[in-house]
Amino acid sequence: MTKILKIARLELSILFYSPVAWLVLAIFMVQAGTGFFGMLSSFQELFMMGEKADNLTRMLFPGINGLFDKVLQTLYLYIPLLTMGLISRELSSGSIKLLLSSPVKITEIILGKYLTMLYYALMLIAILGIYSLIGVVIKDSLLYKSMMDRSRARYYNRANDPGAAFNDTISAVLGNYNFRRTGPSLKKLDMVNLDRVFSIYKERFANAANMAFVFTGNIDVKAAKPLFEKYLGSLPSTSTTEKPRDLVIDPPVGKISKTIIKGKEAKATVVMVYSGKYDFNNQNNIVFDALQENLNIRLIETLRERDGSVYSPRVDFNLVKEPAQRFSLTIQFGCDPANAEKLIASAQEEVRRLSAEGPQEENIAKWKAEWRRQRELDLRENGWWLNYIIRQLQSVADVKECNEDAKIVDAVDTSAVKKAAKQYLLNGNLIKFTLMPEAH
Amino acid sequence: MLGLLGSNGAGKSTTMNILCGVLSQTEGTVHIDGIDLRKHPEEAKTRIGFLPQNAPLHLDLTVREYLTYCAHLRSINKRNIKTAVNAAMEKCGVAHFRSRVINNLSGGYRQRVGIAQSIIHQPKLVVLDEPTNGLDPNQILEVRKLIKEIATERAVIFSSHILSEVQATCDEIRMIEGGRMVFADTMTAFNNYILPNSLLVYMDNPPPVKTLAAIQGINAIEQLTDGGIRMHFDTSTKVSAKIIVMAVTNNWQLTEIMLEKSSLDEIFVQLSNKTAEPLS
Repeated sequence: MTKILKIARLELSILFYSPVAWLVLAIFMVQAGTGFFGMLSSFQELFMMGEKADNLTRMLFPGINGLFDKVLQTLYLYIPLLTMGLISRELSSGSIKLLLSSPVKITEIILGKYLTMLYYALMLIAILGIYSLIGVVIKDSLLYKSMMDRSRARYYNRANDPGAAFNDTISAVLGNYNFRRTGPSLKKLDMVNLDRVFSIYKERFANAANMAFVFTGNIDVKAAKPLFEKYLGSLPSTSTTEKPRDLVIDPPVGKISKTIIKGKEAKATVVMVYSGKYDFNNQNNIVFDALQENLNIRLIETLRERDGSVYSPRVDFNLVKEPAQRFSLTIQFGCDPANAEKLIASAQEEVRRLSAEGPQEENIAKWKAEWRRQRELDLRENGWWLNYIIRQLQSVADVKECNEDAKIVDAVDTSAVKKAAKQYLLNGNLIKFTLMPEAH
Repeated sequence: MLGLLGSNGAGKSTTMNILCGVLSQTEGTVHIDGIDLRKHPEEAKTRIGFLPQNAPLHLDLTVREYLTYCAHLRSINKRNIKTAVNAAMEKCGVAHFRSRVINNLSGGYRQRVGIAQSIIHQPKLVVLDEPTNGLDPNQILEVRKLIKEIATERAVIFSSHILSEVQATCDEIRMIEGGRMVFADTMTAFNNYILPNSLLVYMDNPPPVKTLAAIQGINAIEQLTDGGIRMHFDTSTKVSAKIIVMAVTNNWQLTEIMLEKSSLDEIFVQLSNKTAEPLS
C-alpha cells in the first residue's frame, strides 16, 4: 500500500515538473469558467424575463447541462493527454527498470499510476469547487430591478381586482390602518431599497442564536445528536438574545361596517369578525374549538339549509398569546347580493341564540366524536407533532399539555360553550365587511 | 566480485536484465540466494540491487528525494529509511549533493547516485551493467574504487566490454559471446590463459632464423620484414632476457623488443572457437 502511494506521489510530482499538467489545469479552468459564467448569464436573462428557477444549485452543478455535465464532455480531451505518458515515459527513460527490479508488484505500479490520475482529477474537481463559492449571496442590481418591475406590474392592477381590494381593506381595518397591515401598493414598492434589503438579509442570517430547531420523526437521538451539534452548532451566532417588540396593532373596538363596491360578478362576499381580549390557556382554547364547531353547524343549518341562498358559510378562529392574548372569530360566506343584509341578520341571530340558549346536546356530542377521531389521526402524523411542538415552544407552554386534552374535551358541556359564546361573541366588538358588485 | 565480459551485443545486458527480473527468460531459471525469481519475485528482488546500463534516475528529483523513493520501493522499513538514504549517500560520496536536482549532476555523480540506489537496501547481490560507460578516465577510476569497496561487503556482478577494466577489478570472470558462455574461471586462470606468448623483435643486424630458433623456449619464428621477427615462445622460460643478452653479445643491434598481448577480440575469437558450452 505504501508503495502504491509512493509511486503515485512521485508520478504526481513528475507530472507537475512538466508544463503539461499546469497547462491542462489552466486550459480546463478557462474552459470551465467560460462555461459556468455563460450559464450564469443565461440564467440571469431568464430571471429578468420573469422565469423562476427552483433549486438553482442543482441546475448549475449536477443537473443535465449543468457544470459537471459540461465538463464531462470535454474531459476526454485532457485525460489521455496526461495518461499517455504514465508508462511510456518510464520505458523511454529506462526508469521502468528501477520498478521492475524492485520488489514491487505490477499491480502496485498500475494502481499507483491510476491513483495519480485520480488525484489529478480531484484537482480538476476542486477547480470546479471554486465556482460553487460564487453561490454566496451577491447583490445583483440588474436582477433586483427586473424583480421590482415585475412586482410593479402586478400591483398596478391590484386595485382593480375585487378580491384583492376586499382583502386589503379587511387587513387595513383590522390592523387599525397601521402601515404594516395595509396592502401592497406601488407607493410602498418605491420605498424598497436594495441596500436595505441586503442588510436585512445579512442581519437575519448572521445570527442563529435565537433560533430553535424542531425535528420530529423516528430519530435515533444518539446518532443524530453529533450531527445536530456539528451542523447546527456551527451556524454563525452571537450571544445577543432578541426580544420581540409589541407594535400594538389590535383590531378596533365597537361595531364597524364596511361595504366595498367592486367588480361585475353578481355575487356578494361577507366577512364578520368578532374579536377581543382573551385568557389564553388550554382549557379555554378547547372550549373555543367547541364554540367554533357549534356555530359552524348552526350556520350551515340555518343559512344554507333553511334560507338556502348561501354557498357555504365558514367559521374560523384565531387565538394568540403573544404579544397580547386575544381571540378573533370570523364568519365568512358568499351569497346573492340581494340577500346579503338578510343573511347577515340571520347569522347575527344565530350567534345571539347560541349565547342565549347554548348549543344542542347532540352537537356537542358530534363535536366530541369528531375531535377524538381527528386527534387519533393527528397523533400519527409528524407534521401535527411538529406544529404542536413549535406552538407550545412559542407560547412557552408545557409540551406534555396535549395529554390533558382528552380529559378537557370530555368535560366540555353545553353550559361552558354557552358561557364562552356570551363572553366572546356579545362583547360588542363586531366588524362587518361586505363586497358588493358595481352593478348592484 | 564477478566480471561479465563480452563484446558489444554479446548478451551481457540481457543476462543482467533477466537476472534482475526486468526481462523474463524463455527458458531456464534464476535463483537468487536460493530463491526462484519467477516463483517468489518479491522475496528474490529484495536481495538484488540493480544498476542498468542507463541509470534509472528521475532527473527532476533531488538526490535525497530520489533515494528516499528508491528506499520505499525496496521495502525498507519506514523508520530506517532516513538512515539508509544517508548511509548510501555517504558511501557513494554524494552526500554533499543531497539537495541538488539530479539533472544538474555530472555523469560521474549521476552514476554514483545510480550505484547508491542499488545498494540502499543492503542487498546480498549488486548487479552493475557497464557502470563506467561514458565516464572520463578520472571518473572511471573513482567509480571502480567505489565498486571495489562495495564488493568487500557484498557480491557484485559487473559487466564491461573492456578487458582491462575487468582485469583490474574482478576476482572471477565470465565471458560470453553470442549469448553463450565461452569462459568461466577465476581471474588468475584467465590471466594465465591470455598471457603473452609472442615477442616482436626488430634488429638492424639480424642473425639467421636458425640461430634464433635454436634458443631454448622458442617454438616458432616468423620473419615479418628484413629486421622484424615474431617469435612464439613457451611461457615457462624467460625468453626476452635471453634474447637481449644474446643480442648484445653477438652485436645484433637490437632496436625494439615488445611482448605481444592478445587483443580482446582475438581472445573472443579464440575462445568462441575453442569452447562452445551453453550459457548457464
